[in-house]
Amino acid sequence: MLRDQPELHVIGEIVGATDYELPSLFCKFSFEAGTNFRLLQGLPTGQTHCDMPPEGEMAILSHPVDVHYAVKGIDGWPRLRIEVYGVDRYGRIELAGYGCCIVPTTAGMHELRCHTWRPCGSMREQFSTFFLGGAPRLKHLEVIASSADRFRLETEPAGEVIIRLSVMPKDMHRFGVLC
Amino acid sequence: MVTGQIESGRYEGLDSLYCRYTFSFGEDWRVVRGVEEGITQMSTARGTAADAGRLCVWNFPIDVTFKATGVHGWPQVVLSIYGSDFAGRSDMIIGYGAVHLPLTPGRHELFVRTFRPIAASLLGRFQSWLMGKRPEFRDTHFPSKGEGRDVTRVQSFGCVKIVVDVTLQGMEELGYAVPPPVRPGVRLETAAMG
Repeated sequence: MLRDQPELHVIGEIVGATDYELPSLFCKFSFEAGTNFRLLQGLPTGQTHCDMPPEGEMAILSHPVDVHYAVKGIDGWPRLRIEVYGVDRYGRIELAGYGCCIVPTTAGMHELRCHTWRPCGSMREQFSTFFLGGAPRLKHLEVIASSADRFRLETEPAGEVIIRLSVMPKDMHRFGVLC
Repeated sequence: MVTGQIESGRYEGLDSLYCRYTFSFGEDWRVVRGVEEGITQMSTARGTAADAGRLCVWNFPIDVTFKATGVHGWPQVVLSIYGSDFAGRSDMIIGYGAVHLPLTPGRHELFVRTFRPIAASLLGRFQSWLMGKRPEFRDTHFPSKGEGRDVTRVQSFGCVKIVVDVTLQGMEELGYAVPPPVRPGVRLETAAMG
């Protein structure tokens, strides 16, 4: 590794999830970064615990995040892909929402609110979801975080995920990158 | 360097509580000076004029200096709140919580929402309610770690307020972009915790 290769630290936590219909929630997340970013330390993927908050309150996930990248170029800046799942009254795991949020490019602490969405499926699927549960899920999860087409995907809004991230770049200014 | 205090906790319906804190940090980090863990006094909750609800005030000072060779593994405060339950049995776990110390210098108010693990089955939950043996984490540092959380089921309840002042030294020489300190008075005070 180059002695003064720029590095990027992303430290923070997935605070919680709010405004979902399901009583207990958990979340899967993964940092998706381009080929210019090489992971040096930390866990880029994970699954939080399943929280059962008191009625009407935010589900606290409190999941620590601490990743360290070596940076070759600034395109392909990391983004966080989020899948929120919930457990319904019968103990079945159901999809609650998908979301994607870009890691901020400025140094400092940031509080991010990620609005999530979920596919609604055809009329028939909506009908069976209403009576039997089992909301439709995406087959290819790359859709969540990629900028490729989402044409003809019908979705409905779901709740919000609150994330607190601190970004600390190293040696970026030596290469003329201001962040 | 970090100085500050564990100010108070808000747990509706609970009376006397104490808080245990410890710092969790990566391999590159070590404590240069100060105490890295401690237990506060037992505080009785009482409603104050400024706040609508009941507050346990600990006012417990923290003062630690860390040294590190890399930013990865930035220290976290891990809190565990203990108190007595509805039947008066003492030393019951009320909640765990963890939060990273702020990466920007200046004064920060941190609100840590806490949670406690619950038994996986309904029968187990009933048993622990009856026997007064609540599930606890074997490793105190567990709330600050990312692994193995997918199998835990928790119930969130309550909130702790920590006020810390963070000072960083020698970061800019190593090439880290440190944002300017947060000036007090710029941030709006949150009216109510949680």
